Amino acid sequence: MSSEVTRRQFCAAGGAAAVVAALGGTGAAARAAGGEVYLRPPGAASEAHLLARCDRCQRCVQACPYNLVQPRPLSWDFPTVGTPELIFREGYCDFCMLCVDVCPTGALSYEAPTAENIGVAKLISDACVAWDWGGCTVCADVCPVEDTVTLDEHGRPHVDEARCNGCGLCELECPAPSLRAYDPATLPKGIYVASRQSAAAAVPGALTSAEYEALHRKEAGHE
Amino acid sequence: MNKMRYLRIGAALAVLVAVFACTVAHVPVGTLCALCPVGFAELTVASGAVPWELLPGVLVLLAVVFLLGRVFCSWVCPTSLLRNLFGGRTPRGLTGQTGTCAGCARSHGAAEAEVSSESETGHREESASHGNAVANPNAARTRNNLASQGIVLAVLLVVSFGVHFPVFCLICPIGLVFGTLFAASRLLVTWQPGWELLVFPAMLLLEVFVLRRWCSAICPLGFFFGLLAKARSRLTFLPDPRVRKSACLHSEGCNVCATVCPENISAATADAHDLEDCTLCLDCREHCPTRAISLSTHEK
Repeated sequence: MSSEVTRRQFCAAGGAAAVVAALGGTGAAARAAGGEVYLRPPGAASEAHLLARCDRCQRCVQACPYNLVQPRPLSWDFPTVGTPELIFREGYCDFCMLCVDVCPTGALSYEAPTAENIGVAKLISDACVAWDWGGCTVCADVCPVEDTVTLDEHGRPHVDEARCNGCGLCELECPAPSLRAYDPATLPKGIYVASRQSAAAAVPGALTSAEYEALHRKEAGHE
Repeated sequence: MNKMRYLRIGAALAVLVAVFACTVAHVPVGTLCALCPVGFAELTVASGAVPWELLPGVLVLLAVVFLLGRVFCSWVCPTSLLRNLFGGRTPRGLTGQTGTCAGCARSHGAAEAEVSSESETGHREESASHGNAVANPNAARTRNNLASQGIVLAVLLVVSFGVHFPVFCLICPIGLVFGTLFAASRLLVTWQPGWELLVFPAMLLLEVFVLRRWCSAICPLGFFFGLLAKARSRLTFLPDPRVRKSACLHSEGCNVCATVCPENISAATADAHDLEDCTLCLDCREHCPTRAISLSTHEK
């Protein structure tokens, strides 16, 4: 039995332990510094709870019939990589709750307030077609929650933020990118769903593209 | 030739393909992460509450490892899949040139030295007694190190407790393989490639092919499996590779079983302690020139 092998094994273990400690430390620091929040599937109690409880088994991703639930990509906020977030690219949430049903860890649960309310739709004033010229009524037409998106006397849409459940149908259907000339400073869609824990949700009414970009992933009250 | 390796590659690939197919078909089977005892412990300390719903899956995995040995390591774990596919430590690329065995060269040299010294002094002995002089290759091999794996497990649990997220999941090679898989599936929805498509394979390359001692010294899953293997080795009615001594050529200098074994175990001379590291890959059974090795429950 060679002690050299054992020593190398302990060196490897020590190195791995150091990497784990360093990752934990920098990850926690990155989380604390960024205060990032993401649009999570229904049933996520809070960023902190989801992150502590999610084992990244991807069952919610597999369960979602509309491909809304997607694993978070790698970013500087790396502790969140692989945890579920919602992308309204191929559909919207009809609260079928399959993601909550299959979650084996309780990271998503019926007890959380987001089980019935994922987030809130925010109008982007410089991207919305109706904001400038009126005429487009798509978001008000498709909204499945009665009297939530209404049009004012100028034909501008307004979101009743208390009623909105963040299903994402307005974001999915918004035709702004096909109706506007391309402008890199303007968000492609005229309406987005933001987490209710975000600073964007804390500001009532419409936001500009720049405001939304700055606020929709910042935790409210973090600054 | 190398039938067993192709079978193992097939089995581990089948798991990945099945998970990917279930993702496309919206069948929520989850990844291997849903069965992970390390993840279970991490979530418990990170969130301060036991995720009881994970427990049945974890117990099933541990029961399988207890009954069948470390089959997970060689037949399911994506780390072994990568090593089998792309070579690595001693193994043995897809085309299967044989590996080396830590103790074989030394014991071979020792035997030769002994032969020459004997011929100098003029004492000629029977070949059988030469055979007795052949050293046991198991003495020099790298054993699974429960203590170092335990250190990694303890540190990752303390860190997870402190930072409130499962920290080992970020570097676990099994998670990285599935992470790459799901990053690819996300790409099909968002059409925005993420950094993980580059970073995860690079980390895997480092862990699987540069840190050769990952499995034996670092893997915290191996700590659980090692504990089970220790308990298992006391039960003689569970299957292990056993050698029919009457047919074994080890005494003639044959070390094929040790050379082909990913754990460098010489089945010919293995005791219960050596077999704790056996992953039941069955390469020794396939390559034994006299077919003296079989999977059985009784010492022959």
